[in-house]
Amino acid sequence: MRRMRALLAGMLVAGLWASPATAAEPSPRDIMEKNFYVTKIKHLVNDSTMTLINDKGQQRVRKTHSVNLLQPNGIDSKIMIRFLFPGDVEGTGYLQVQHYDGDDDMWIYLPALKKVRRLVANNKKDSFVGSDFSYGDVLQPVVDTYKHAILKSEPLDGEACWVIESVPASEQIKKDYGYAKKTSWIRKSNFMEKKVEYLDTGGRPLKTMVAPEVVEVDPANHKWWAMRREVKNHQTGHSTLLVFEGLDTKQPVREDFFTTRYLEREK
Amino acid sequence: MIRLPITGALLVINLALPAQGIPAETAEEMPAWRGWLKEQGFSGHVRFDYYSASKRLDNNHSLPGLTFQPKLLPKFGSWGDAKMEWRFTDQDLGDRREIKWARLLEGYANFYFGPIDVRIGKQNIPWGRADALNPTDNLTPKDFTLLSAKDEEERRIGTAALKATYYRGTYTLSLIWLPIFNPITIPLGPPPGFQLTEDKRSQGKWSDQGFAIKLDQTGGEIDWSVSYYYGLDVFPVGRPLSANHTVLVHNRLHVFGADFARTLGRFGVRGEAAYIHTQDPKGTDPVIKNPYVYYVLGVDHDLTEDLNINLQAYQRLIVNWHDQFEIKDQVLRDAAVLNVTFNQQLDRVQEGLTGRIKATWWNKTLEGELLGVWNANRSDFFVRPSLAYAFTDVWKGFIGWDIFNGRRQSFYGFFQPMTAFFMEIRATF
Repeated sequence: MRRMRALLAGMLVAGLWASPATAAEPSPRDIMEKNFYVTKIKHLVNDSTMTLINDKGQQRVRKTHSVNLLQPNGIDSKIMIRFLFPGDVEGTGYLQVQHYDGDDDMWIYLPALKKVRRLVANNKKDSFVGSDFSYGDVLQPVVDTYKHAILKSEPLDGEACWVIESVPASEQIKKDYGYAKKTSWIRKSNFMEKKVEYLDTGGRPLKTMVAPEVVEVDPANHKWWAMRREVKNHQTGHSTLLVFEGLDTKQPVREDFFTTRYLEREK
Repeated sequence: MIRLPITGALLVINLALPAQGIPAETAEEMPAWRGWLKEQGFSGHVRFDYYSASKRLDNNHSLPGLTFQPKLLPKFGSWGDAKMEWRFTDQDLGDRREIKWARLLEGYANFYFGPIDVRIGKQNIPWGRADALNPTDNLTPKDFTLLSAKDEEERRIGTAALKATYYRGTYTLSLIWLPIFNPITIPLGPPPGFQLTEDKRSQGKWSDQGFAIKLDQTGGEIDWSVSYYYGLDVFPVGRPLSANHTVLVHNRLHVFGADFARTLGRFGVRGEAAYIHTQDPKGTDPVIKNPYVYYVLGVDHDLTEDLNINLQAYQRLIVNWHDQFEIKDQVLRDAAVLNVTFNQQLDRVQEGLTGRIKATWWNKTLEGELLGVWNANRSDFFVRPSLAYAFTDVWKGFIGWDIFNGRRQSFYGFFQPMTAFFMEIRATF
């Protein structure tokens, strides 16, 4: 009898966790957890081009070279970014040591001043270098920052997706990240997001991000990367296109690379 | 520094600049020579500017200027690289009251030996974690006569030096030898009939050389350093030789310094302090600086995403201070008063505030800044309101106003004639 009760309780819990779409599918938290870890690559070197386009169509371009090293906790990374273009920021270095449970440590090296300067951690809702991505978008928060629910399953541009609604787990998180709700289209084939719609803290449509092109950059560990991301702010008309190239997940990256010694090297 | 025509430099710029707002070409599309220049890390800027007054206290007004500043960053491999940066400038295109000049700002090579980096050549060695006011920053000079909207960044001039740096984890130990002394360029124009010469101590004598050591920790919760410098003061003092002739001399210093930076929540906190021991510990020689303690403490904070504020307080405590206005000999008194005014030793304790408010708009393409320094003792101040707008990724414009104000016998009051409106258009490549 006791065994039967335990079995029924287990079935009930499993039922609660299961998506409303089909009972065989993973839970929305499992999907978002897999979405979180699928881009956690042990070491990654890449070049990127970010094109900022205003509502009049005028373009600004930012080119960077980045080196990432995943920390042993599998969540946080150390990141070194070198700006390559435009000329007035060329050589500027940016070092970030992430702490998922607190503020990140950040330093910037300005070639003109020849000084390394410790920075105050950004607010998660702040714009990332003038783009339509926020720091909270670029450095994806851990899965329980939001509460997730599966709305439905549907194909998007020919790819089967789960549609997941994520709401901030607290009022403080809503304030910090600047979103009242995110709706994500997550590919069933690899757990990478294909589209995300964001509502601002007042519940108004804020922006839409699409990631049309993803590649498996580390097949052994099933790690994927979006080679192109586009985000459009519906309230300002401004948009940002982020394109990655020269991705390298095989080149080993040493821990001591993430120090001021390398931050100060302008090239 | 050499004189030269500037037209040839402009031709190079014209060839090097990409079209407006369009990113640089890919390596495959470039002509071979441009590919080679890119491989050598060729970049720089050209700027045209206008200043309503010079920074030489020479009563010159309305100065249109043109500057070309290229640099090369060639890489030798994993064992080393180099940097060369020049400035070719004519700060007065119209009346040619200022000389055209070309200067190697930096020219050095880096060699990497395991945990040790060695840098040899003409280089800038800026020290200190405080903003703009740096008590520990005494190794390499600045050109205070430079006309540039980004003068705080660009007025530094390198000095010949050998620097060895040992790295261990987050710790860095630097040893520096400065075999050739290089002083600051000061805004001083002698009145008619008065001769002002400078002993630049560039004879390569042992007594003209400098040495420095610094232990730095950057990482974790707090960044800090302790440092020591023994060498000549890059700032001069005037020694009167006669009623109409003064020589600027540079005396020896011992500078014991320390600094730190950390974050407290959403606030950045920085501090820097130094004890400067001079050749006049008793304060009895009016033409040598007195020893002094100088410290700066400040915070910076983002009020909103696009609005940052930075506030600092500073204090100078002059050891064995004497009132230079009590000197009986008029020639000596005039020189002594000028020395303490220029070297900020007019009062026994000097204190004040610095502030900067910076705002950005339109996805950070428009920047507005208000920065200022206020000396509490004599209520003299410097204020610079300015705007900068990036027309494209290549072209940027600046407009602003440098305001120096105070009574004549105060630091910023002395520089009041340098008050100027300025505008600048700059292209980077």
